[in-house]
Amino acid sequence: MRRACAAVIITVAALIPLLRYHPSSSASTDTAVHASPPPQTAASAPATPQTDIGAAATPQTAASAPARSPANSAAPIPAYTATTPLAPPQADSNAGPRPQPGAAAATPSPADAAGAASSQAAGDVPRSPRASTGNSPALPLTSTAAPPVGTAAPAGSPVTVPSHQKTVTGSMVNTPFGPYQVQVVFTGNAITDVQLITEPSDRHSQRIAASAAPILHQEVLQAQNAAIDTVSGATITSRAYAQSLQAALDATGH
Amino acid sequence: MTNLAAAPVRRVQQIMGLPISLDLRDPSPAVYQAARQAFDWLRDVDRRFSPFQHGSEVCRLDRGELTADQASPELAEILTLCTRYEHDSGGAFRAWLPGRCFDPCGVVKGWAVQRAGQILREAGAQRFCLNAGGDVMTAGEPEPGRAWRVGIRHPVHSDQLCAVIRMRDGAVATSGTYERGAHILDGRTGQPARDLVSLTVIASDLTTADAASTAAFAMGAAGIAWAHSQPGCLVFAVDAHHRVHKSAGLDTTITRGETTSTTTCP
Repeated sequence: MRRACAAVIITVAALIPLLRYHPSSSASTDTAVHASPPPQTAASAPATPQTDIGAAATPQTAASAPARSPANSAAPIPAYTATTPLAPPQADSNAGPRPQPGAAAATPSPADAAGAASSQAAGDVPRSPRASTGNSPALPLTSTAAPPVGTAAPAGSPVTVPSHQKTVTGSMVNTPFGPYQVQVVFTGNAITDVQLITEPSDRHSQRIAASAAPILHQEVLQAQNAAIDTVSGATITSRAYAQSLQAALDATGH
Repeated sequence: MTNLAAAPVRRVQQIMGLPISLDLRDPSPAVYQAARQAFDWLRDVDRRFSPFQHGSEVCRLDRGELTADQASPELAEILTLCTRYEHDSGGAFRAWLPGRCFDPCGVVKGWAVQRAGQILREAGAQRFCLNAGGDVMTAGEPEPGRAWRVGIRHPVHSDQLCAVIRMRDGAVATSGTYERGAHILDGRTGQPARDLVSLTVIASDLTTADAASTAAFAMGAAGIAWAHSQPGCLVFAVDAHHRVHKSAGLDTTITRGETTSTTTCP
Protein backbone atom coordinates (compact mmCIF):
# COMPACT_ATOMS: atom_id res chain seq x y z
CA MET A 1 0.00 0.00 0.00
CA ARG A 2 2.93 2.31 0.60
CA ARG A 3 3.90 1.66 -2.99
CA ALA A 4 0.44 2.65 -4.07
CA CYS A 5 0.75 5.86 -2.12
CA ALA A 6 4.11 6.53 -3.75
CA ALA A 7 2.56 6.06 -7.14
CA VAL A 8 -0.15 8.52 -6.26
CA ILE A 9 2.42 10.99 -5.05
CA ILE A 10 4.19 10.84 -8.37
CA THR A 11 0.96 11.11 -10.30
CA VAL A 12 -0.15 14.05 -8.28
CA ALA A 13 3.17 15.82 -8.24
CA ALA A 14 2.45 17.62 -11.46
CA LEU A 15 -0.86 18.80 -10.07
CA ILE A 16 0.41 20.05 -6.77
CA PRO A 17 1.61 23.45 -7.92
CA LEU A 18 -1.88 24.23 -9.10
CA LEU A 19 -3.55 23.57 -5.80
CA ARG A 20 -4.01 26.67 -3.75
CA TYR A 21 -3.60 24.70 -0.60
CA HIS A 22 0.08 24.26 -1.09
CA PRO A 23 1.57 27.65 -1.64
CA SER A 24 4.94 26.53 -0.38
CA SER A 25 5.31 23.27 -2.25
CA SER A 26 8.17 22.90 -4.63
CA ALA A 27 7.60 21.48 -8.06
CA SER A 28 10.96 19.79 -7.96
CA THR A 29 10.27 17.40 -5.11
CA ASP A 30 7.52 14.94 -4.45
CA THR A 31 7.54 15.35 -0.74
CA ALA A 32 7.04 19.07 -0.42
CA VAL A 33 3.31 18.72 -0.10
CA HIS A 34 1.46 20.16 2.82
CA ALA A 35 -2.22 20.06 3.50
CA SER A 36 -2.00 22.82 6.02
CA PRO A 37 -2.77 26.40 5.04
CA PRO A 38 -0.20 29.10 4.81
CA PRO A 39 0.47 30.85 8.08
CA GLN A 40 -1.13 33.99 6.77
CA THR A 41 -4.53 32.37 6.82
CA ALA A 42 -4.93 33.13 10.47
CA ALA A 43 -4.51 36.79 9.71
CA SER A 44 -6.72 36.82 6.67
CA ALA A 45 -8.76 39.79 5.67
CA PRO A 46 -12.27 40.52 6.92
CA ALA A 47 -13.74 38.84 3.86
CA THR A 48 -12.50 35.49 5.04
CA PRO A 49 -13.90 34.91 8.49
CA GLN A 50 -13.37 31.78 10.51
CA THR A 51 -16.70 30.33 9.59
CA ASP A 52 -16.27 28.01 6.68
CA ILE A 53 -19.54 28.52 4.93
CA GLY A 54 -20.50 31.94 3.74
CA ALA A 55 -22.89 33.75 5.95
CA ALA A 56 -24.45 35.63 3.05
CA ALA A 57 -26.64 32.83 1.77
CA THR A 58 -29.94 32.68 3.53
CA PRO A 59 -30.79 29.11 4.37
CA GLN A 60 -33.39 27.61 2.10
CA THR A 61 -34.02 30.97 0.48
CA ALA A 62 -31.11 31.35 -1.83
CA ALA A 63 -33.14 33.13 -4.46
CA SER A 64 -33.74 36.00 -2.12
CA ALA A 65 -30.07 36.69 -1.50
CA PRO A 66 -29.11 40.30 -2.08
CA ALA A 67 -27.96 41.14 -5.55
CA ARG A 68 -24.37 42.09 -5.95
CA SER A 69 -22.84 44.68 -8.18
CA PRO A 70 -22.70 43.78 -11.87
CA ALA A 71 -18.95 43.48 -11.73
CA ASN A 72 -19.24 40.69 -9.23
CA SER A 73 -22.54 39.17 -10.05
CA ALA A 74 -21.52 37.13 -13.04
CA ALA A 75 -18.79 35.08 -11.47
CA PRO A 76 -20.31 31.83 -10.36
CA ILE A 77 -17.12 29.94 -10.78
CA PRO A 78 -14.00 31.70 -9.67
CA ALA A 79 -11.53 30.09 -11.98
CA TYR A 80 -8.30 31.35 -10.63
CA THR A 81 -7.04 27.85 -10.22
CA ALA A 82 -7.26 25.10 -12.74
CA THR A 83 -6.49 21.43 -12.80
CA THR A 84 -4.75 21.61 -16.11
CA PRO A 85 -2.61 24.24 -17.70
CA LEU A 86 -4.73 26.45 -19.87
CA ALA A 87 -4.11 28.53 -22.92
CA PRO A 88 -3.16 32.11 -22.21
CA PRO A 89 -5.99 34.61 -22.64
CA GLN A 90 -4.80 36.03 -25.93
CA ALA A 91 -4.86 32.57 -27.51
CA ASP A 92 -8.56 32.17 -26.90
CA SER A 93 -10.79 32.84 -29.85
CA ASN A 94 -13.37 34.51 -27.67
CA ALA A 95 -13.36 38.11 -26.68
CA GLY A 96 -10.22 39.04 -24.86
CA PRO A 97 -10.13 40.11 -21.28
CA ARG A 98 -12.05 43.22 -20.42
CA PRO A 99 -10.10 44.97 -17.76
CA GLN A 100 -12.11 46.20 -14.85
CA PRO A 101 -12.00 49.90 -14.16
CA GLY A 102 -11.12 49.23 -10.60
CA ALA A 103 -8.41 46.73 -11.30
CA ALA A 104 -5.12 48.34 -10.56
CA ALA A 105 -1.87 46.95 -11.82
CA ALA A 106 -0.38 44.61 -9.37
CA THR A 107 2.11 42.02 -8.42
CA PRO A 108 1.71 38.31 -8.94
CA SER A 109 0.00 35.79 -6.78
CA PRO A 110 1.62 33.67 -4.14
CA ALA A 111 0.33 30.78 -6.19
CA ASP A 112 2.90 31.66 -8.79
CA ALA A 113 5.59 31.10 -6.29
CA ALA A 114 4.03 27.77 -5.47
CA GLY A 115 4.42 26.53 -8.98
CA ALA A 116 7.87 27.85 -9.63
CA ALA A 117 10.77 25.64 -8.74
CA SER A 118 11.31 27.49 -5.54
CA SER A 119 11.99 26.49 -2.00
CA GLN A 120 10.45 29.55 -0.47
CA ALA A 121 8.77 28.94 2.80
CA ALA A 122 5.03 29.43 2.95
CA GLY A 123 4.29 33.03 3.56
CA ASP A 124 7.32 34.46 1.87
CA VAL A 125 6.75 37.64 -0.01
CA PRO A 126 5.53 36.89 -3.53
CA ARG A 127 8.17 36.84 -6.18
CA SER A 128 8.68 39.71 -8.53
CA PRO A 129 6.36 40.00 -11.54
CA ARG A 130 9.10 39.39 -14.02
CA ALA A 131 10.35 36.27 -12.34
CA SER A 132 6.97 34.65 -12.02
CA THR A 133 5.36 35.51 -15.30
CA GLY A 134 8.47 34.96 -17.32
CA ASN A 135 9.38 31.58 -15.98
CA SER A 136 6.05 29.92 -15.38
CA PRO A 137 4.15 29.81 -18.64
CA ALA A 138 1.97 26.89 -17.61
CA LEU A 139 0.72 28.46 -14.43
CA PRO A 140 -2.89 29.51 -14.32
CA LEU A 141 -2.21 32.91 -12.91
CA THR A 142 -0.44 35.77 -14.58
CA SER A 143 0.22 39.20 -13.31
CA THR A 144 -1.67 42.16 -14.62
CA ALA A 145 1.45 44.21 -14.19
CA ALA A 146 2.45 43.11 -17.67
CA PRO A 147 -0.74 42.88 -19.74
CA PRO A 148 -0.74 40.21 -22.45
CA VAL A 149 -0.09 41.37 -25.97
CA GLY A 150 -3.25 42.61 -27.58
CA THR A 151 -4.97 43.43 -24.37
CA ALA A 152 -6.34 46.91 -24.00
CA ALA A 153 -5.08 49.00 -21.16
CA PRO A 154 -7.42 49.42 -18.22
CA ALA A 155 -10.10 51.91 -19.13
CA GLY A 156 -10.56 53.47 -15.75
CA SER A 157 -8.23 55.76 -13.92
CA PRO A 158 -5.86 54.05 -11.56
CA VAL A 159 -7.31 53.36 -8.18
CA THR A 160 -5.25 53.57 -5.07
CA VAL A 161 -5.19 50.27 -3.24
CA PRO A 162 -3.45 49.31 -0.06
CA SER A 163 0.07 48.25 -0.81
CA HIS A 164 -0.48 44.75 0.54
CA GLN A 165 -3.26 44.10 -1.98
CA LYS A 166 -2.45 42.37 -5.24
CA THR A 167 -4.62 41.78 -8.26
CA VAL A 168 -3.94 38.75 -10.38
CA THR A 169 -5.54 37.73 -13.64
CA GLY A 170 -6.38 34.09 -14.19
CA SER A 171 -6.20 32.18 -17.43
CA MET A 172 -9.28 31.54 -19.53
CA VAL A 173 -11.13 28.54 -18.19
CA ASN A 174 -13.77 26.69 -20.13
CA THR A 175 -16.78 25.59 -18.14
CA PRO A 176 -20.12 24.03 -19.02
CA PHE A 177 -21.44 27.60 -19.09
CA GLY A 178 -18.75 28.93 -21.39
CA PRO A 179 -15.35 30.51 -21.01
CA TYR A 180 -14.52 32.49 -17.93
CA GLN A 181 -11.62 34.56 -16.89
CA VAL A 182 -11.31 36.10 -13.49
CA GLN A 183 -9.29 38.59 -11.61
CA VAL A 184 -8.37 37.73 -8.05
CA VAL A 185 -7.51 40.22 -5.36
CA PHE A 186 -5.13 39.03 -2.70
CA THR A 187 -4.62 40.74 0.62
CA GLY A 188 -1.46 39.18 1.81
CA ASN A 189 -1.93 35.57 0.81
CA ALA A 190 -5.67 35.57 1.42
CA ILE A 191 -8.13 35.86 -1.44
CA THR A 192 -10.37 38.81 -0.72
CA ASP A 193 -12.21 39.28 -3.98
CA VAL A 194 -12.82 37.63 -7.30
CA GLN A 195 -14.10 39.50 -10.31
CA LEU A 196 -15.15 38.25 -13.68
CA ILE A 197 -13.41 39.86 -16.61
CA THR A 198 -14.51 37.52 -19.38
CA GLU A 199 -17.87 35.86 -19.52
CA PRO A 200 -19.64 33.54 -21.90
CA SER A 201 -20.96 35.21 -25.01
CA ASP A 202 -24.00 32.98 -25.07
CA ARG A 203 -26.94 34.88 -23.64
CA HIS A 204 -28.42 31.87 -21.91
CA SER A 205 -25.17 31.17 -20.17
CA GLN A 206 -24.95 34.78 -19.13
CA ARG A 207 -28.35 34.59 -17.59
CA ILE A 208 -27.42 31.47 -15.70
CA ALA A 209 -24.21 33.05 -14.57
CA ALA A 210 -25.95 36.19 -13.41
CA SER A 211 -28.52 34.32 -11.40
CA ALA A 212 -25.99 31.96 -9.97
CA ALA A 213 -23.13 34.16 -9.07
CA PRO A 214 -23.79 35.94 -5.85
CA ILE A 215 -23.91 32.93 -3.67
CA LEU A 216 -21.55 30.31 -4.98
CA HIS A 217 -19.06 33.12 -5.48
CA GLN A 218 -19.05 33.83 -1.78
CA GLU A 219 -19.01 30.25 -0.73
CA VAL A 220 -15.91 29.57 -2.72
CA LEU A 221 -14.12 32.64 -1.47
CA GLN A 222 -14.52 31.57 2.10
CA ALA A 223 -13.84 27.91 1.57
CA GLN A 224 -10.61 28.62 -0.25
CA ASN A 225 -8.77 29.49 2.88
CA ALA A 226 -9.73 26.43 4.82
CA ALA A 227 -7.37 23.64 5.61
CA ILE A 228 -9.18 20.37 5.15
CA ASP A 229 -8.68 16.76 6.11
CA THR A 230 -10.80 15.14 3.39
CA VAL A 231 -13.16 15.91 0.53
CA SER A 232 -16.77 14.90 0.02
CA GLY A 233 -18.09 14.91 -3.52
CA ALA A 234 -20.11 12.99 -6.04
CA THR A 235 -18.86 9.45 -6.33
CA ILE A 236 -15.49 9.68 -7.94
CA THR A 237 -14.07 6.99 -10.16
CA SER A 238 -10.69 5.46 -9.57
CA ARG A 239 -9.51 7.12 -12.76
CA ALA A 240 -10.65 10.60 -11.78
CA TYR A 241 -9.19 10.12 -8.32
CA ALA A 242 -5.66 10.53 -9.62
CA GLN A 243 -6.38 14.19 -10.33
CA SER A 244 -8.53 14.89 -7.31
CA LEU A 245 -7.92 17.01 -4.29
CA GLN A 246 -8.47 13.95 -2.13
CA ALA A 247 -5.57 12.23 -3.88
CA ALA A 248 -3.40 15.20 -3.06
CA LEU A 249 -4.44 14.97 0.57
CA ASP A 250 -3.76 11.25 0.64
CA ALA A 251 -0.40 11.84 -0.97
CA THR A 252 0.70 13.96 1.93
CA GLY A 253 0.90 10.64 3.75
CA HIS A 254 1.99 10.23 7.30
CA MET B 1 -6.98 7.86 23.65
CA THR B 2 -4.01 5.75 24.64
CA ASN B 3 -2.26 6.05 21.32
CA LEU B 4 -1.94 9.77 20.94
CA ALA B 5 1.76 9.41 20.28
CA ALA B 6 1.30 6.89 17.45
CA ALA B 7 2.07 8.29 14.03
CA PRO B 8 -1.00 8.70 11.84
CA VAL B 9 -1.38 6.28 8.98
CA ARG B 10 -3.09 6.64 5.63
CA ARG B 11 -4.21 3.79 3.42
CA VAL B 12 -5.82 3.99 -0.02
CA GLN B 13 -7.31 0.98 -1.76
CA GLN B 14 -9.31 0.70 -4.94
CA ILE B 15 -12.44 -1.31 -4.22
CA MET B 16 -15.81 -1.29 -6.00
CA GLY B 17 -14.16 0.88 -8.64
CA LEU B 18 -13.68 3.56 -6.00
CA PRO B 19 -10.69 4.97 -4.22
CA ILE B 20 -11.17 4.24 -0.53
CA SER B 21 -8.97 6.35 1.74
CA LEU B 22 -8.49 5.55 5.40
CA ASP B 23 -6.84 8.10 7.65
CA LEU B 24 -6.02 6.52 11.01
CA ARG B 25 -4.88 8.83 13.77
CA ASP B 26 -4.59 6.29 16.57
CA PRO B 27 -3.21 3.18 14.92
CA SER B 28 -2.27 0.11 16.90
CA PRO B 29 -1.71 -3.52 15.93
CA ALA B 30 -5.36 -4.26 16.67
CA VAL B 31 -6.47 -1.34 14.56
CA TYR B 32 -4.22 -2.36 11.68
CA GLN B 33 -5.81 -5.79 11.79
CA ALA B 34 -9.25 -4.18 11.82
CA ALA B 35 -8.30 -2.00 8.86
CA ARG B 36 -7.48 -5.12 6.86
CA GLN B 37 -10.81 -6.61 7.90
CA ALA B 38 -12.61 -3.42 6.93
CA PHE B 39 -11.09 -3.41 3.45
CA ASP B 40 -11.83 -7.15 3.15
CA TRP B 41 -15.43 -6.43 4.10
CA LEU B 42 -15.72 -3.83 1.36
CA ARG B 43 -14.34 -6.31 -1.18
CA ASP B 44 -16.93 -8.81 0.07
CA VAL B 45 -19.64 -6.21 -0.43
CA ASP B 46 -18.52 -5.69 -4.00
CA ARG B 47 -18.64 -9.40 -4.70
CA ARG B 48 -21.95 -9.99 -2.95
CA PHE B 49 -24.02 -6.91 -3.63
CA SER B 50 -22.82 -5.40 -6.89
CA PRO B 51 -25.37 -5.41 -9.70
CA PHE B 52 -22.41 -5.60 -12.06
CA GLN B 53 -21.10 -8.94 -10.74
CA HIS B 54 -22.99 -11.79 -12.35
CA GLY B 55 -22.74 -14.10 -9.35
CA SER B 56 -23.63 -11.52 -6.70
CA GLU B 57 -26.56 -12.01 -4.37
CA VAL B 58 -28.11 -8.92 -5.91
CA CYS B 59 -27.99 -10.41 -9.42
CA ARG B 60 -29.22 -13.76 -8.20
CA LEU B 61 -32.15 -12.08 -6.51
CA ASP B 62 -32.83 -10.15 -9.68
CA ARG B 63 -32.86 -13.35 -11.73
CA GLY B 64 -35.15 -15.07 -9.26
CA GLU B 65 -32.51 -17.53 -8.12
CA LEU B 66 -32.93 -16.13 -4.63
CA THR B 67 -36.17 -15.09 -3.00
CA ALA B 68 -36.38 -12.30 -0.46
CA ASP B 69 -36.95 -14.96 2.18
CA GLN B 70 -33.70 -16.64 1.28
CA ALA B 71 -31.72 -13.44 1.37
CA SER B 72 -28.75 -13.22 3.72
CA PRO B 73 -29.18 -10.90 6.71
CA GLU B 74 -27.04 -8.31 4.94
CA LEU B 75 -29.08 -8.45 1.72
CA ALA B 76 -32.23 -8.23 3.79
CA GLU B 77 -30.88 -5.03 5.36
CA ILE B 78 -30.19 -3.61 1.91
CA LEU B 79 -33.68 -4.49 0.70
CA THR B 80 -35.19 -2.84 3.76
CA LEU B 81 -33.19 0.33 3.11
CA CYS B 82 -34.23 0.41 -0.54
CA THR B 83 -37.88 -0.04 0.32
CA ARG B 84 -37.77 2.59 3.02
CA TYR B 85 -36.14 5.28 0.90
CA GLU B 86 -38.34 4.51 -2.08
CA HIS B 87 -41.34 5.07 0.15
CA ASP B 88 -39.97 8.13 1.91
CA SER B 89 -38.95 9.83 -1.34
CA GLY B 90 -42.36 9.30 -2.90
CA GLY B 91 -40.90 6.96 -5.48
CA ALA B 92 -38.16 9.29 -6.72
CA PHE B 93 -35.56 6.89 -5.43
CA ARG B 94 -36.10 3.44 -6.90
CA ALA B 95 -33.80 0.45 -6.77
CA TRP B 96 -36.35 -1.40 -8.90
CA LEU B 97 -36.92 0.50 -12.14
CA PRO B 98 -39.03 -0.93 -14.95
CA GLY B 99 -36.90 -2.57 -17.59
CA ARG B 100 -33.76 -2.36 -15.50
CA CYS B 101 -31.94 -4.69 -13.17
CA PHE B 102 -32.36 -4.32 -9.43
CA ASP B 103 -29.77 -1.71 -8.52
CA PRO B 104 -29.25 -0.93 -4.83
CA CYS B 105 -26.09 1.09 -5.45
CA GLY B 106 -27.74 4.21 -4.06
CA VAL B 107 -27.72 2.76 -0.58
CA VAL B 108 -25.09 0.03 -0.55
CA LYS B 109 -21.96 2.13 -0.48
CA GLY B 110 -22.85 4.24 2.55
CA TRP B 111 -24.17 1.22 4.39
CA ALA B 112 -21.04 -0.79 3.64
CA VAL B 113 -18.62 1.98 4.61
CA GLN B 114 -20.52 2.67 7.81
CA ARG B 115 -20.10 -0.99 8.72
CA ALA B 116 -16.40 -0.85 7.82
CA GLY B 117 -16.10 2.05 10.24
CA GLN B 118 -17.79 0.01 12.93
CA ILE B 119 -15.21 -2.74 12.44
CA LEU B 120 -12.55 -0.15 13.18
CA ARG B 121 -14.37 1.21 16.21
CA GLU B 122 -14.84 -2.24 17.67
CA ALA B 123 -11.09 -2.79 17.43
CA GLY B 124 -10.52 0.34 19.47
CA ALA B 125 -10.00 2.96 16.76
CA GLN B 126 -11.38 6.24 18.05
CA ARG B 127 -9.91 8.78 15.67
CA PHE B 128 -10.17 8.06 11.98
CA CYS B 129 -11.67 9.23 8.72
CA LEU B 130 -12.87 6.89 6.01
CA ASN B 131 -13.58 8.32 2.56
CA ALA B 132 -15.10 6.07 -0.09
CA GLY B 133 -15.04 7.94 -3.37
CA GLY B 134 -16.42 11.08 -1.79
CA ASP B 135 -18.62 9.63 0.93
CA VAL B 136 -17.04 10.36 4.28
CA MET B 137 -17.32 8.91 7.76
CA THR B 138 -15.39 10.45 10.64
CA ALA B 139 -14.69 9.41 14.22
CA GLY B 140 -13.23 11.41 17.07
CA GLU B 141 -10.74 14.15 16.31
CA PRO B 142 -7.78 14.22 13.95
CA GLU B 143 -5.85 16.14 16.60
CA PRO B 144 -6.83 16.78 20.21
CA GLY B 145 -9.28 19.64 20.38
CA ARG B 146 -9.92 19.91 16.67
CA ALA B 147 -12.81 18.59 14.59
CA TRP B 148 -12.37 16.88 11.22
CA ARG B 149 -12.67 19.35 8.37
CA VAL B 150 -14.54 17.86 5.45
CA GLY B 151 -14.45 19.95 2.30
CA ILE B 152 -17.36 19.75 -0.10
CA ARG B 153 -16.07 19.69 -3.62
CA HIS B 154 -16.99 22.51 -5.96
CA PRO B 155 -19.41 21.05 -8.53
CA VAL B 156 -17.40 22.40 -11.44
CA HIS B 157 -13.80 22.61 -10.33
CA SER B 158 -12.32 19.49 -8.84
CA ASP B 159 -9.62 21.38 -6.99
CA GLN B 160 -11.93 23.84 -5.28
CA LEU B 161 -14.34 23.64 -2.39
CA CYS B 162 -17.67 25.29 -1.87
CA ALA B 163 -18.01 24.53 1.82
CA VAL B 164 -16.21 22.97 4.73
CA ILE B 165 -18.02 20.94 7.35
CA ARG B 166 -16.44 20.48 10.74
CA MET B 167 -17.44 17.44 12.69
CA ARG B 168 -16.27 14.77 15.05
CA ASP B 169 -18.38 11.62 14.88
CA GLY B 170 -20.47 11.96 11.76
CA ALA B 171 -20.90 11.36 8.07
CA VAL B 172 -21.07 13.37 4.88
CA ALA B 173 -22.34 12.05 1.55
CA THR B 174 -22.65 13.96 -1.70
CA SER B 175 -24.59 13.12 -4.84
CA GLY B 176 -23.92 14.98 -8.04
CA THR B 177 -23.79 14.86 -11.78
CA TYR B 178 -20.30 16.22 -12.26
CA GLU B 179 -18.33 12.98 -11.97
CA ARG B 180 -20.53 10.46 -13.74
CA GLY B 181 -23.01 12.58 -15.62
CA ALA B 182 -26.75 12.61 -15.02
CA HIS B 183 -26.80 9.03 -13.79
CA ILE B 184 -29.33 9.33 -10.99
CA LEU B 185 -32.81 8.67 -12.31
CA ASP B 186 -36.01 10.10 -10.93
CA GLY B 187 -38.01 6.95 -10.34
CA ARG B 188 -41.26 8.82 -10.88
CA THR B 189 -40.39 9.72 -14.46
CA GLY B 190 -37.55 7.38 -15.37
CA GLN B 191 -35.63 10.44 -16.53
CA PRO B 192 -32.30 11.69 -15.16
CA ALA B 193 -32.62 14.10 -12.27
CA ARG B 194 -31.32 17.46 -13.46
CA ASP B 195 -32.55 20.11 -11.03
CA LEU B 196 -29.42 19.93 -8.92
CA VAL B 197 -25.73 19.64 -9.62
CA SER B 198 -24.68 18.70 -6.12
CA LEU B 199 -26.46 17.74 -2.92
CA THR B 200 -24.71 16.89 0.32
CA VAL B 201 -26.28 15.37 3.41
CA ILE B 202 -24.60 15.55 6.79
CA ALA B 203 -25.85 12.96 9.28
CA SER B 204 -24.67 10.94 12.24
CA ASP B 205 -24.09 7.83 10.13
CA LEU B 206 -23.13 7.24 6.54
CA THR B 207 -25.94 4.79 5.85
CA THR B 208 -28.40 7.61 6.37
CA ALA B 209 -26.29 10.30 4.69
CA ASP B 210 -25.70 8.30 1.52
CA ALA B 211 -29.23 7.02 1.10
CA ALA B 212 -30.75 10.40 1.88
CA SER B 213 -28.45 12.29 -0.49
CA THR B 214 -29.16 9.88 -3.32
CA ALA B 215 -32.92 9.95 -2.73
CA ALA B 216 -32.97 13.74 -2.36
CA PHE B 217 -30.98 14.20 -5.54
CA ALA B 218 -33.46 12.02 -7.42
CA MET B 219 -36.30 14.17 -6.10
CA GLY B 220 -34.81 17.28 -7.69
CA ALA B 221 -35.36 20.74 -6.23
CA ALA B 222 -37.91 19.38 -3.76
CA GLY B 223 -35.26 17.03 -2.45
CA ILE B 224 -33.46 19.87 -0.69
CA ALA B 225 -36.31 20.51 1.72
CA TRP B 226 -36.94 16.80 1.98
CA ALA B 227 -33.36 16.06 3.01
CA HIS B 228 -33.49 18.95 5.46
CA SER B 229 -36.59 17.40 7.02
CA GLN B 230 -35.03 13.98 7.52
CA PRO B 231 -34.31 13.30 11.21
CA GLY B 232 -30.79 14.25 12.15
CA CYS B 233 -29.91 15.44 8.66
CA LEU B 234 -28.49 18.71 7.40
CA VAL B 235 -28.27 19.57 3.73
CA PHE B 236 -26.02 21.64 1.49
CA ALA B 237 -27.06 21.78 -2.17
CA VAL B 238 -26.10 23.59 -5.36
CA ASP B 239 -28.87 23.76 -7.94
CA ALA B 240 -28.55 23.83 -11.72
CA HIS B 241 -28.41 27.62 -11.59
CA HIS B 242 -25.58 27.40 -9.10
CA ARG B 243 -27.61 28.75 -6.25
CA VAL B 244 -26.63 27.37 -2.89
CA HIS B 245 -29.20 26.02 -0.45
CA LYS B 246 -28.37 24.88 3.04
CA SER B 247 -29.88 23.95 6.36
CA ALA B 248 -30.13 26.68 8.94
CA GLY B 249 -28.33 24.52 11.43
CA LEU B 250 -25.32 24.05 9.23
CA ASP B 251 -23.44 27.17 10.24
CA THR B 252 -23.97 26.37 13.88
CA THR B 253 -22.61 22.95 13.34
CA ILE B 254 -19.58 24.35 11.68
CA THR B 255 -18.66 27.14 14.02
CA ARG B 256 -19.08 24.99 17.06
CA GLY B 257 -17.26 22.09 15.50
CA GLU B 258 -19.79 19.82 17.09
CA THR B 259 -20.78 16.41 15.94
CA THR B 260 -23.93 16.38 13.93
CA SER B 261 -25.18 13.32 15.73
CA THR B 262 -27.08 15.35 18.26
CA THR B 263 -28.30 17.98 15.84
CA THR B 264 -31.91 17.89 14.81
CA CYS B 265 -33.17 20.00 11.99
CA PRO B 266 -35.36 22.87 13.18
